[in-house]
Amino acid sequence: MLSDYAPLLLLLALAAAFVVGNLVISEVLGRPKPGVGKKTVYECGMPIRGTARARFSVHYYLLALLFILFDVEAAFLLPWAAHAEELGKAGLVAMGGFAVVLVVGLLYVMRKKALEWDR
Amino acid sequence: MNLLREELSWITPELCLTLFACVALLVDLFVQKGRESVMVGFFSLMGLLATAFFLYRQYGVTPPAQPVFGCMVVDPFSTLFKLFAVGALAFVVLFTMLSRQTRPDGYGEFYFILLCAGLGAFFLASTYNLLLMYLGLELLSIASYILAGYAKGNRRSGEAAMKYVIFGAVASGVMLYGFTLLYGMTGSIDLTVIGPKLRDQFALDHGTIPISVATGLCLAGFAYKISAAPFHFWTPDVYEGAPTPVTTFLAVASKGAGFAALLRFLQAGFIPDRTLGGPEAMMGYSDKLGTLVAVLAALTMTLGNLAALGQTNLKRMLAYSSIAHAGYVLMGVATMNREGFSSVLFYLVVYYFMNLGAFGVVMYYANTTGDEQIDDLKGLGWRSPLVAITMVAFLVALVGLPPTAGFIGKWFLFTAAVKKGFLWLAVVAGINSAISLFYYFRVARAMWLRPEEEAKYATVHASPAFAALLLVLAVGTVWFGVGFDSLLRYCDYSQNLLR
Amino acid sequence: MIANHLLTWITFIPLLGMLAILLAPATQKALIRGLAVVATAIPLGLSLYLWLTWGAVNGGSAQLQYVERVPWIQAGNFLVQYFVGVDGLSMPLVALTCLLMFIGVFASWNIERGMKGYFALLLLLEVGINGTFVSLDIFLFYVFWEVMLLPMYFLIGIWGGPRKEYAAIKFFLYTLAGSVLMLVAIVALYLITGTFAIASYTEGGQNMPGLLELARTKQITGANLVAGGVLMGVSFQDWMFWFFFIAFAIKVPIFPFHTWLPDAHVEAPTPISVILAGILLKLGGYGMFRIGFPIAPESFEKFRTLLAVLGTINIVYGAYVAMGQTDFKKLVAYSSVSHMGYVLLGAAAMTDWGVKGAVLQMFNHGTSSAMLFLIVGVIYDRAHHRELNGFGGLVTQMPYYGGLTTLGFFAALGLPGLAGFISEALTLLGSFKTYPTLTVISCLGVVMTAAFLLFAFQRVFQGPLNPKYAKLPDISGREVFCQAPFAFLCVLFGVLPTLILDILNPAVKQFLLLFPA
Repeated sequence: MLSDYAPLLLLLALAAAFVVGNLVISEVLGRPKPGVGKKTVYECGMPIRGTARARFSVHYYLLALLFILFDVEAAFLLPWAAHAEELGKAGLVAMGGFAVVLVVGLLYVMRKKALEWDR
Repeated sequence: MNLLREELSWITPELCLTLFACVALLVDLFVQKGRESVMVGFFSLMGLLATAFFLYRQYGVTPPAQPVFGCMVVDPFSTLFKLFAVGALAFVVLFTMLSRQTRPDGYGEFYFILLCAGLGAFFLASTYNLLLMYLGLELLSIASYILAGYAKGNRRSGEAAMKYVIFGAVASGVMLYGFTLLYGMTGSIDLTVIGPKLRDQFALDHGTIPISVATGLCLAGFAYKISAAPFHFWTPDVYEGAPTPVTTFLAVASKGAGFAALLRFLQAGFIPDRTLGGPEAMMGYSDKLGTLVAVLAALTMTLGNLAALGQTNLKRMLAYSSIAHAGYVLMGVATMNREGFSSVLFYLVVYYFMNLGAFGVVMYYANTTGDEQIDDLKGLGWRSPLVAITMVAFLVALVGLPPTAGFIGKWFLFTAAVKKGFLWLAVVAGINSAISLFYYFRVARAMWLRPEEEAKYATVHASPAFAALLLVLAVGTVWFGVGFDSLLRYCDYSQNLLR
Repeated sequence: MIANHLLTWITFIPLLGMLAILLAPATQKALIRGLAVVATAIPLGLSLYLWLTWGAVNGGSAQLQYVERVPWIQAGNFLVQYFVGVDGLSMPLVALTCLLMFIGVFASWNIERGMKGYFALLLLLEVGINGTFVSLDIFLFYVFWEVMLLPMYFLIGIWGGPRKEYAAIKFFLYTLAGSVLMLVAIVALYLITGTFAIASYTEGGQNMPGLLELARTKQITGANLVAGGVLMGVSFQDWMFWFFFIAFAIKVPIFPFHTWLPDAHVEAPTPISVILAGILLKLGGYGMFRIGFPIAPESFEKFRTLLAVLGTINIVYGAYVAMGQTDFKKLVAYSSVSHMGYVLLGAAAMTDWGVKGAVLQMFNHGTSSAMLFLIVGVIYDRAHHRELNGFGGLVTQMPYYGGLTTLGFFAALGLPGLAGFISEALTLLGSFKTYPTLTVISCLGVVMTAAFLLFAFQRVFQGPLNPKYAKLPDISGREVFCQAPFAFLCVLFGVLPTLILDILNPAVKQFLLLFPA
């Protein structure tokens, strides 16, 4: 019964061997040639500006979170929009309920002045 | 449209709770400052009342096997737990309204989150769908994290929330992993499908290692929620640090919902239908699982009790005591049979009364003095006799002495365990009960055995509303120790999972 | 109506009294005392009626009397009944309880602090004690048994002496540890037999055998609970026996479970010591006779020699330790340990005389030890200490007190003509047949008891008068009133023991029938 899992084990071993093997090979065959470009932090190929420890305003995070929160609703609204006619009234009611909850949330956010950058 | 209406009608309590949660939030936004505490609390209570009404109407009605597109189960079992949660929430809301410990601002959010946590408990208790179960658990947990840290600016409250989040995240992650393994093995997230599939696997007799791994991971998640050893480490810190009404919620409603999900999980997946007669291997596995739970139970109650012995902080002591009580309740779970599960329900109802009461007294004490030390309670009995007398009733029930409900609850747990053959467990539980007397009665000793002259704090009379709440709970605690036949029948009826 | 529910009234009138006291304003001290007197006087009156009409009602039969049986909790197969009744074994103890409680209220006249709570707890205690004596349902028995603990804890803990907290929790923990074992045994019994009834009864013309009947006919083997009725190499019945025995032995208290008793006695206020020695200890003995022994007759047969040895140890060891005490109250406490040893010895002997003596000893010790503790209370109230060596020559200063003390001491040491003699003599005569050696050793205890009591008397009352106490007032009318009933009973049952033996006889015969010959 345990032998059913043998291929899995084999895969695990192969994967490990691949990683370790490559590391060992590059260590053995390669010669270290450090340069300025190689020593810098890699960031999408762009030259680095400033330090990574710069501080952002906390509002930034708040806004980002809120953005994601309300952005995700599109993921639910779009499929419904694509099939709105077939789903009919039931779909409308269901999505309406969903939207109402979101609106309550939006109201809350606005009332708490979370969307205002300066306060 | 009709289909939708019909399906949704089975979750009217949940819809009602959601609606009132939103209302509570809006009321907080638009009511004039200073009055929101009363108003929001009032609306929350109204919502709970309405929810209870819908639950009451649902009780005893036979729904389709699994309404709401197969996601939910509406049965007496889930209704009992939902009523349980609503009742606990109502007391927590009332305690909060009468408490000065929570922040003066931000009442709306507090009640809103509380009601959302209740909603999570609702879903946790009434589904066979692993995904929905997990969502319910997360809704309940995330709401609890926020609530635990609600006393903003209080270091201990912050610490509590942080610890809770980290423990909770790990535990629910582990549990989710268990769920995925089950899904991988059976191809379904519905426990009613998983059960028969597992039965088939047992019949093939491939061994139990993969199933054991999956079950173990899932059990870890449940054990965390009910704070059973060895996943109990968060409990004392969180209980102590969180605002007292929140602690009450965690100790009663959250734990109850955890037990509901655990029972449903075990029933659907791991207990062979005795009438159909499962494969031999499954019977054996079910008993083995029961023995594992029995060992956990013994471990939990012993650890909880021994740790409680040394506590000086009342809330922390009650936290350890709640761990010990999780151990007692697990005794009933370990039997893996109808009688044991029924005794679990009975004990949870009893536990509801005595623990709400005990935490209520803690809140009264902390409110009037800002102190939570047991020794500083001295002389309280002479100063506030009513509160102290009710506290003695709760303590006696927590020890498990007649004529209180605590004794009857333990009686049925003991009976179920002994009947299943766990005589050793009953003896361990008995010794633990005797040990628990020592620390519970340190409270009684401080309140009554020290003379009034030693009292550290002047009298602050409990407000009539608060005294009435405590009295209701105390009367319930004693009443169910004397006239418990209706409750017994009710629990037995609600225990519809196992025939 | 009262006659039909006599036992219910006796048991629950104190509860009504307790509620009344709780509702009374704390400042109305006279009202509270009055309520307490009334709430204990009515049960006393009813129990007197019970005693005086006993022969007329049952014509000397051993049947249970004044039986009441109604379902209490009924759900499926789970049936707990409110099943009460008395026979010759329990009736005298019920009467003794009522008397002691009534006297206890008067002995508590000086309690000022928190007196409302005090009397409420005292009455709750009476409910627990009487309820335990009359219960014929083992669940009910257990509930009442535990109800006693709480009031006792607070009565010792709040109104006790300097080490009251230690004594109170020690008492509570010891008793609870014992009762937890009893609880496990009760659970197992229920699972085996499906019934809680101790005595048999008829339901719808059908005979429902009680636990004792089932035990007598060897139907409690435990085979349906644990395989073969053997658990870890020990037979199920033996487990049952020891669980019950330890629970009751702690209460009696039997060596080596006796260590809570001196602490509890020394720290408890006088009236509570009186009740503790007078009745609470009897509950242990009563439990053995009612449940502990007959529920496991074969195990009892197997172990009774060991029990007799324990009884002998109690008698001799208790008396020996009492000799070394200089605290008056501790001395009396250890004398209780010694006297309760007779109960176990007589029961273990299993002869008609031995058992009769043991049961009678419970009653007689109830009166004589109550008197002794009241005597200690009198001197403690005046001198505020109990150091035996600190007194001397008091008989000239307090002649009436000295006289009553003489009577109490002689009753306790078993002087012929007083009650203690009858029961001790019966016990020893009865046990001599079975255990001659142990009986001879136990007789040493009688001598030692006489020695320590007379020595104590000498130190307190004789010799030169301690000048510190030259102005002590003699015993007051209230104190005489408290002691008089016990003195009267000591003399009465010493001169006319048949008055009580006639009641015990049929019950003891019935008890012996529960065991295989």
